[in-house]
Amino acid sequence: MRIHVKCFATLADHSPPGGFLELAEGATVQTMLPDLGLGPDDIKLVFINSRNSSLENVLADGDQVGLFPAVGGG
Amino acid sequence: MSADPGAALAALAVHDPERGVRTVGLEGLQAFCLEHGLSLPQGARVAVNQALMPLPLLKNLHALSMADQAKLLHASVLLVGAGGLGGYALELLSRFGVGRITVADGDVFEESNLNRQLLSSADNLGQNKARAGAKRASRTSPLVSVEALDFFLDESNLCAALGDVDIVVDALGGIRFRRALRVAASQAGVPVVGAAVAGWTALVGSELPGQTGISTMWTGSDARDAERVLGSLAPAACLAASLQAAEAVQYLITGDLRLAGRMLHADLSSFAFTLYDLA
Repeated sequence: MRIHVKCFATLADHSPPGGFLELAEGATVQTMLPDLGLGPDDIKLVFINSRNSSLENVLADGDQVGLFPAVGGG
Repeated sequence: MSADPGAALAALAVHDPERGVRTVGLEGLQAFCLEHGLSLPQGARVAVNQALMPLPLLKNLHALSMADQAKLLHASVLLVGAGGLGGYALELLSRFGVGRITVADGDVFEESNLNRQLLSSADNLGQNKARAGAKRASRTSPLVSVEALDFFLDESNLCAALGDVDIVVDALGGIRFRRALRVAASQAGVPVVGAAVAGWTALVGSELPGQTGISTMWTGSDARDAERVLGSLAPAACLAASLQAAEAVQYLITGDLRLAGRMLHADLSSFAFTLYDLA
């Protein structure tokens, strides 16, 4: 299945080329992270299709995933 | 002294035919306040209560109605932080005519603030940020009252600072204290409009008492804050603070928060703006 992934702020360089990853059925956000060169500790917020989600969420074909680190600057 | 201050002020008003409103200028308002023993912010409230628009606020019409402006002049905001976000937020809230603003910051200006912090300048390095904010607002917005708390808020003094406040604007830097601010605000029944920046990234979101939204982001230590890697750029700070000011003012007028339980993400390197649902 094809998943659109966007990594933001300090994680921006980890967005996949072209913005898409091909993953096996049953993949979760967490099992996808090594493909991005990221670990669970790098991620503070996970969004799937703009809704708050978690690393354990199972992905579906066409999902749009957004990954944020902690951002606290003022 | 006139028995009816409102009538005395109305006698000083001028009709603006273009906008269909009666206005009173700063000079007339000052003379009126002097005669009646009022502060300028008190005088401004008397004016709007009489449907007289103080000239410094004239261009708020008609995006704001006279009744909206009256609500703002009677409102109270606690602004926590007077740095990158807080300086711009204070500028906008005071120019909107939010009647009472308490701005808290125990920090002093340093050279590395000069790339983005509105209140910082080469000649006020080492000076307290909150006091610099109150000083600037007294010149730009004499119709509002800005009180500076020149110390950091913490669990010991938050409760007192939250008394009689309509909304909190979280303009803190770092992660550590943000959750404590929300817990105290929630207990006081006051909503919080928060924001954070790193590099070209700006995030803004609001939380009603008892609601968890953007603050989901702020668990853990300051060490993982993206700002430490990406720094902080002026347009991101200015944009985030503008959105906070618009959100806070609309809340004071309508009682609704557009970003309650949500987070607006602006990536100014790609001009992508996305709303996320956190509730």
